[in-house]
Amino acid sequence: MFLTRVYKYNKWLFAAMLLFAIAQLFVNYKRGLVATPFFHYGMYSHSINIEKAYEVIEVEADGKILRGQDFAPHTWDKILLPVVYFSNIKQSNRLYYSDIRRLMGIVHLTTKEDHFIQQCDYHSFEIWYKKYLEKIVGHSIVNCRIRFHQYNFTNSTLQPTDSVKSLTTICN
Amino acid sequence: MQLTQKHRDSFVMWFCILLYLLMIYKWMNGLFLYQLEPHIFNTRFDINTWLLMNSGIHKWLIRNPTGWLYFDITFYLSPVLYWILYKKNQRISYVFAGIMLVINFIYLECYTLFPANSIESFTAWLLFPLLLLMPTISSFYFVLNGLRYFFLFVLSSAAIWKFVQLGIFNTEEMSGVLLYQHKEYLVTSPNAFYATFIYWLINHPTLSFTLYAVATALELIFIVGFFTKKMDPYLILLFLLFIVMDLLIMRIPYWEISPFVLTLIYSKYNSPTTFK
Repeated sequence: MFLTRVYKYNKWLFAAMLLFAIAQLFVNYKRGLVATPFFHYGMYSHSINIEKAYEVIEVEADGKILRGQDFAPHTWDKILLPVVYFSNIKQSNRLYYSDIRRLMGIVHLTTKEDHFIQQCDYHSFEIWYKKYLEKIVGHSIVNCRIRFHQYNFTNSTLQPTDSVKSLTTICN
Repeated sequence: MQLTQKHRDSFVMWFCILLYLLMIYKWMNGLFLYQLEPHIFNTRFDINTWLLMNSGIHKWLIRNPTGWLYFDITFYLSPVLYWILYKKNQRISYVFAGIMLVINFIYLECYTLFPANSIESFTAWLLFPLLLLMPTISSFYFVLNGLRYFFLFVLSSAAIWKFVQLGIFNTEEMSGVLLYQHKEYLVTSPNAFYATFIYWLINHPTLSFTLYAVATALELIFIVGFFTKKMDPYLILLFLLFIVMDLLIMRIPYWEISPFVLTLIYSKYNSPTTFK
């Protein structure tokens, strides 16, 4: 067995490997909580059904909605991810109050709230995002609008509804 | 054949080549920190990330654009510095591998806090400096094989999670996954060939579920690697197939994990230490 041979070769290396394996298995057992570089690789493993409705990000630059087909996968992610992150600020902040402060307190570590909390400053985000987007699309943009548009999955395709939320309302 | 210093040299060389190929790929896709110009972060449920965040380094980076460039230069320069030291003075190179471990940890923790990529795909970048730290060819052999087992675990556990979290028992699974993953693409480009293809898969749940089941089986096959090394050449091919299919069907570029392939390539060499 591999670990037996490691033990015979060097007991310190064996102990390090054993600890590594235990940490990895512990993270898998606990689910949810991870500690870099110990992760669990369960993306898209829980049961996912076809939903009736989906919230879709639409980014409009000078009246035109940016199209996925015009961008490589990485670039498309670069366009959408900052919006996802901004819309997620509240949840990200909540993690500090619900878990970070408590769990780090157990090991007597003082946490600095300011390092974990972000404000929903849409104005600042909008200015930054417009500049960021200009570099991606390669030309200047006068007006940039971001919204979450609800689509229903009916007749085998995603159909737009009248429900539209702005990014500001989602964060605040 | 036993693992020798010559094999170690070629391993280090290929590792550096792979990292620099990935670096070029990232630069061309505007994925350096200075190109991403981070403005916002997202806290994940990760204890080690919290420890780093508590230092405030990520917020300092957001406020200091010059820091992005310093971070990129330090991170992408360290493999070539390691390589030069490895050639000139191996003892110092082992010390530098320790520094590289810290550099990679800090850079990747910060990088993945910003809207860039998930940290899981960078596991090879985080762990390989441990291998470069090894001072003897025997310890190198054992850590190389340890990382091989870890890589096998990553892929096979992904399959096991699909059983534990019941995804594999849901015949609507892949259609649901595709809709969630591609909703923005489908809505903004409904007439594109790719959207037509994805809609076709979504609307044929049996077929799309078969794809999901095949992908799960493919991941599960990696368990074989725990019992024999004879199948490693086939596992390499399966892994490459997995990465390509991930890109084609999910539009998830997963190239960053590719250095792990080296552990399967070099697994054919035997231990330089013999045991009674």
